[in-house]
Amino acid sequence: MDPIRFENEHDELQYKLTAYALGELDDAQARELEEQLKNNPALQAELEEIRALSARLSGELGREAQAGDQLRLSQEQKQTIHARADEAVSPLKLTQTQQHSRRVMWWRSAGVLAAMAACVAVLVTLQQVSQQQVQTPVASRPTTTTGSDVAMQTPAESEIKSDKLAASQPRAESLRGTVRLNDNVTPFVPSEGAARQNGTVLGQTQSTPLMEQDAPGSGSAPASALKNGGFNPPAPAAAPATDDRGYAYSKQADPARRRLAALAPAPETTDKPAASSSPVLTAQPMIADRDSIPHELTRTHRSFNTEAYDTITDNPFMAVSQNPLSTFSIDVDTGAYANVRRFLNMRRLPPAGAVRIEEMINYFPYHYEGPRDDKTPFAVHVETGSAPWAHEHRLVKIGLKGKEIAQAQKPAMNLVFLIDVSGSMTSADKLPLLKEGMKLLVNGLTENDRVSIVVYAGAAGLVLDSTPGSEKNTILAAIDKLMAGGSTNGGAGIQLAYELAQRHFIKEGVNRVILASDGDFNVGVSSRDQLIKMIEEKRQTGVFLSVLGFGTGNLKDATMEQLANKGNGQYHYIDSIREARKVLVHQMAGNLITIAKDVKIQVEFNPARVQGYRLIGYENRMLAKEDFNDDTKDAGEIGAGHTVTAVYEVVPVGVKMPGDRSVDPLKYQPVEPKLGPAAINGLASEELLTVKLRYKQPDGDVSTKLEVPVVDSGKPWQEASSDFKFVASVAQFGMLLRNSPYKGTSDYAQVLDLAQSGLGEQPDEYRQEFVELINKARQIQERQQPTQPAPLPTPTPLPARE
Amino acid sequence: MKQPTHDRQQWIRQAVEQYERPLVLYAWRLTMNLELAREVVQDTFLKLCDQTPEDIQDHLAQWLYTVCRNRSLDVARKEKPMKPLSEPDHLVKDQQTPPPESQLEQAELSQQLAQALSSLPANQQEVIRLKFQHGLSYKDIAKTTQLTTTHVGYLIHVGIKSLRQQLAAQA
Repeated sequence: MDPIRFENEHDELQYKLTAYALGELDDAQARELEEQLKNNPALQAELEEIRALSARLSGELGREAQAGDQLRLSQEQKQTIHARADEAVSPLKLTQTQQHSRRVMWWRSAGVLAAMAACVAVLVTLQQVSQQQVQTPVASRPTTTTGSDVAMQTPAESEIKSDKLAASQPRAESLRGTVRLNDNVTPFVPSEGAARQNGTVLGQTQSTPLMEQDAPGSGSAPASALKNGGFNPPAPAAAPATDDRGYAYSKQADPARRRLAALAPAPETTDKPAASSSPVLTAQPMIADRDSIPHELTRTHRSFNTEAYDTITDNPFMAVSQNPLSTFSIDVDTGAYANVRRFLNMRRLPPAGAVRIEEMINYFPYHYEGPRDDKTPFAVHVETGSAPWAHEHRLVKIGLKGKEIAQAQKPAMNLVFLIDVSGSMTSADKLPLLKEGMKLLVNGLTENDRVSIVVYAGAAGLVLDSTPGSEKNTILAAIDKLMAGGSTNGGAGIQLAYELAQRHFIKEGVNRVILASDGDFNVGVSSRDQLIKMIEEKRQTGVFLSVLGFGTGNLKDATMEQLANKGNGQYHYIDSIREARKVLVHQMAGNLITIAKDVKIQVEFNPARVQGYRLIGYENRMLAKEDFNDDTKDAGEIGAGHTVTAVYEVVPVGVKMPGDRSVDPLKYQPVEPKLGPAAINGLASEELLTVKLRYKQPDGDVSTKLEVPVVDSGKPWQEASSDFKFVASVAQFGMLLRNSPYKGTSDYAQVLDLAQSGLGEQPDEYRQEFVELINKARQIQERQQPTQPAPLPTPTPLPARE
Repeated sequence: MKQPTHDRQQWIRQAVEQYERPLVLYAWRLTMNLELAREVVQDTFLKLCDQTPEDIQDHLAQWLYTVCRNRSLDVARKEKPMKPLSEPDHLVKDQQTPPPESQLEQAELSQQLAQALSSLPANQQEVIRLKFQHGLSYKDIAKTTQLTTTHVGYLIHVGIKSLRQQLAAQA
């Protein structure tokens, strides 16, 4: 026992009495004290006093601790907690104790329950000791697994934390995530109170004009496809590793090839094993050669299993002398932003591989002007300015704006909804959300449009035969009737959907099957390969396929994206009514009406002006320079009203190139680059670069080329447009989140300033939300500083007072 | 047998239900800011979610309070760099921020007791609260505050003695 210096013996006795009164003396000491107490009434009286005071303290202080609602966490905070609780146990522990845990599960379940009961008993005792008035019911509360409100909280995500896990069983891990789960228990967190956005959108039933023709800021359709970013099929061949946040990722040898491989119809005989085409639809848990892990375990850990992020190596600075051409495919996906937002709302930093900067930039609407004439499907706008995070560098923003289609000229639409109504679709973030979204969409339809509804997986068959868009009541009634539940398998499904689409085909219109699901694809076709084949065939006939993903835990992001790709449609992930509105109403035209396809960009830099450049983002979209003129190479599509933005960071001549990767001077070719025709003519000496674009008409096969030469305006950053400033802030934010080696002097304060300067005259809700996200990221980062526990200060002799 | 996830969810839910308010109160005292206190407690529960129940079940309270305390002190340090933690807080009456409990809607502490308590130095107050308000044992308090068990006992003893004297004087 440490020496304590007591003032006197009595003091020491009191110390012991106090400890005794509080039950803190061990048996020997207690008996000793009891001896002393026996014949000492004074001492006994003191003990009573101490006991009385203890009781009073416990009583009053205890009540204080349960006093009122002020001490409660907010609804949002609790939701975040419960969302995290729904995630799996750390997989590292799982691996290490896998064998062990099987036994725990199956043989020691009783023991565990007993331990928990004992623990509970201990806690209850503690409560009683402090005489808390409020009896916290320790008996289990019913766990609601379905929310009753439209939940705004982002779905529970999870992470593959352990590199050990990944290393020890890469194949099994990636495949385990493919277990298709039929259970009705959704991992989604019930909202315990009114959802934040409940009141906003649902009341709006007036028809939203299809295209908003008026001034900027009123939501000219932003880039469309919401993809749950980053859920690309892992390439299991390479040894998985973890990035510094502990997320498992797999190295992709060649992003461009991989992407094109994903787009190509036939499985390529590349070095990627078949798993990269992600056999997601198999119903069996494909646990390779291990002891079969109990199904319950895989169910438990499904949510972290579906997530794996590819690593993205930031595009490095390229020297113009070696690489004068930069070529990439445009992309209008926006999923990465929604995904990053989800992480931040759960008070976590996203894994670096999830932060695809181009998708984050493209999430927002920008005020680019559309094309002047009707022949070109889009307009190109280039802006230049200094780079906020590296003042001697320049930023070049290339923006495309697809032409709007006026309401009067919008093509007629023949839409067939193919809806998953399996039991798991019951939760608030799935079927109910889809229904609300559909109703909003229906409101914008006219008598030239047609809508049909087919269901699968819970019931099967026709819910609504093809109905003109003007008969809104009929359609809305059918939507209302939609219900999830039941367990019938397969049946009609996709064949019926396509049949309907074909039967009511509209020439020169939009004919689309829209598949909506949380991840079950038993649409009546036995294998996924067959499914893909069918989708491709039908695409040739002019019926395209888009996919809407909902919910979490079961979401087969990679497959959905693939199906949409094959179907010439888009994949959107819808996690809130606001997203539903964005996808199904605001951007409906853009998503359904393609105005140009296979759009590629190639930039040639002028070595007289530019020493080096770096494309920010688009790492997954890079093309070989020969691909630009190759019309057989697939690329991205632009929809009506879409904007697409790409940003280059440019190192002007005379400024030191970052990084010094020197290349040996050539032996067989001239050291000086030969002057190109423009340079010789002297015409191009002013130009910084030329942007070239190739695109095809939606039903064409031959591409058309556009060229846009660009002269650096030399404008100071303050004069940049607010769009430019905002784009730069998103790019910078992305670089910070990824901890990019090129982030320069960036920090969150700078990002915030930049974003706020880019809010513009009438900041829209999306930009404002972005500002909030910056703050969240900053807070999370700050709170992740290592904790230095501070010991309680030792009692020092108090000055003066005593 | 319940699903493992289900168990965990239950466990977390119970923990939140049971400890939410005391932890917020505890954190409030340490950070002197209710908003911050709630965030700290949220962080604490989030951390709990990352743990395996089996590892913590038997000392849940101590775990929660320790994490909560560390987080609170971190946060307090960042938000108010000027306030040295080592100084006993007996100046609390003179500070501009009123002690948290006075902002509670329902005053649970009698005037007497509140006054007497607030006259104690901060370390004694904290330990006494941990004992009587939060129900931790000497051992758990010691773990949470990084003192020895004996030291904890000593602080409580001195505190109780002081309280007795003051209350007797007031009576």
